[in-house]
Amino acid sequence: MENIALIDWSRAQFALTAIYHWFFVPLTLGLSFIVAIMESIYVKTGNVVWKEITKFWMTLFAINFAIGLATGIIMEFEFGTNWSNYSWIVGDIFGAPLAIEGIMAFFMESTFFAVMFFGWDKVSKEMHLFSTWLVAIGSNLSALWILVANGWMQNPIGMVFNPDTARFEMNSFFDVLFNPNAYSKFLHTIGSGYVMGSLFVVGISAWYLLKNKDVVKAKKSIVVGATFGLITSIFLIFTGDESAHEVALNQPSKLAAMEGLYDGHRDVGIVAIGMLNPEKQIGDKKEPFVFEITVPHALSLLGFHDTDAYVPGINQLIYGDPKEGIEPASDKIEKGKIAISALKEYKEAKKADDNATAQKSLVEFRANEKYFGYGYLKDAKDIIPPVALTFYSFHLMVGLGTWFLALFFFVLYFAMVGKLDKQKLILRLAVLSIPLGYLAGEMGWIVAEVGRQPWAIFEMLPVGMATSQLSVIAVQTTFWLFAVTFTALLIAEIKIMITQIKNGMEEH
Amino acid sequence: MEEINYINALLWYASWPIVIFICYKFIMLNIKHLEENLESKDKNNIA
Repeated sequence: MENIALIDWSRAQFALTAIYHWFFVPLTLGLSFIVAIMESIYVKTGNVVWKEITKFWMTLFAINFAIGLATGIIMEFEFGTNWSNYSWIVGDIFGAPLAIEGIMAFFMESTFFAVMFFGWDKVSKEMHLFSTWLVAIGSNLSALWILVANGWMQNPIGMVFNPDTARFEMNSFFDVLFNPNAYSKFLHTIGSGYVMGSLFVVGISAWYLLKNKDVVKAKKSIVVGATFGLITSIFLIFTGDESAHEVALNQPSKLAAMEGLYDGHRDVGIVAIGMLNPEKQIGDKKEPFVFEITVPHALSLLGFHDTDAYVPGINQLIYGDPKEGIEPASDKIEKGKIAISALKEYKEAKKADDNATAQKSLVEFRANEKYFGYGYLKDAKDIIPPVALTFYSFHLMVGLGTWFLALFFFVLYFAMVGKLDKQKLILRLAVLSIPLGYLAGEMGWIVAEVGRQPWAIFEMLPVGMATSQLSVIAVQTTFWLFAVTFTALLIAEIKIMITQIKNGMEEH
Repeated sequence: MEEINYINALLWYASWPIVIFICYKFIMLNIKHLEENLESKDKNNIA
């Protein structure tokens, strides 16, 4: 029996942890490489100004790294405490990348972090630089394994369902690692971290220029940040395209929600700017948009690399479209129920040593296995994620990404022609863009995770079947405890960072 | 079960270090240009 309150509070708790975790991670991913490049310039040129610049940004990196770690560990524990059914059913697959992350990346990252932060006068310049690069690579490898696990949740491949244990088991590690959703997600996520790191460096350096403080170091930092940001923003366009292509192929319900597409057809445009009709309900005849500006052909082209490609809408995914070979969701639910009951019969027959019935049930189960997860859904409309949240998050993320690209371009241009100090508006916009970077990153995760609903593992396991059997009050209590703790950590991080920044680059 | 294109996946993964390398090269180039500019500005100010 599903307990809606428990599911929603468990969802809320995990979302809270993930949102707070993502306040810290992107800066770690991006700033680690920026610091490594700055230190490389120091080692190559021997100019001590670059050592001071590196040490300044490294201190900010270290504050962020330490606090980010706490939220990450809590998230991993939540798989056991709040999502024990999920961990039981897919632990064999999901556990592998997480274990590799712990062994390979975490140890590498933590060990060399100590050398990087405390070893300036204890190891040679080259060894120190090597450690800084390994911290950057280690942080990003951490992200790789987490995103391989997440990519598998979006597109579960490389596994089989074992009816005897009622668990999914991995049968190809390389399929899990080379899953298109894994690499596209990894590259898009680290790319967003690089942009965030760049916005942070550019924004804080812009603040120094506005205050006329540490001007030379700020100018040098801004060139590093803006160059890194500009190149990685361009990279983000390509990885975003690949990510959207994979969503189009494997998660049509997410794509339909991202675009507010109710009625699918061929040659579909993309909504550049639009406002959804709040009155619109699935299945009614109301217009989906209050207003919209559409780029013709673009959704078919970006999603399927063909301007004439068919893109199914929400209505086709729910009610089916025989012409395009799309089954109604209600049929999938029925087949899923047959799979569930066949599995139950199989287990009972096995228990009773009735091999003939067990064999017959197993054949029936395998024939409907693909729809197993659908059997737990109550209504065909449940297959569609929340449209408004997914749509606005996606469009806000894309809009902000475009703004960051323009910002990096103008900042770099004026820095290179030596006129950046006079561009007060651009400098102010650069400072204001720091929180926008965080917002864009959070929006990206909302698209990925809210867009995956109602599934914990896409089309395999609904979120409702993944939770632990806890009391609602226990989850509510820990939710508020985490909310207070994480907020305190975030405030602490911001305060420490502001103090360091106000001290200036000279202090380090 | 979806067929995985391993070569395609490897190429995508390989783009990660390539992008970092491109960033490094361009940053070096831009910094060299910036430091030359700053130096010539300093000389002009002294003159």
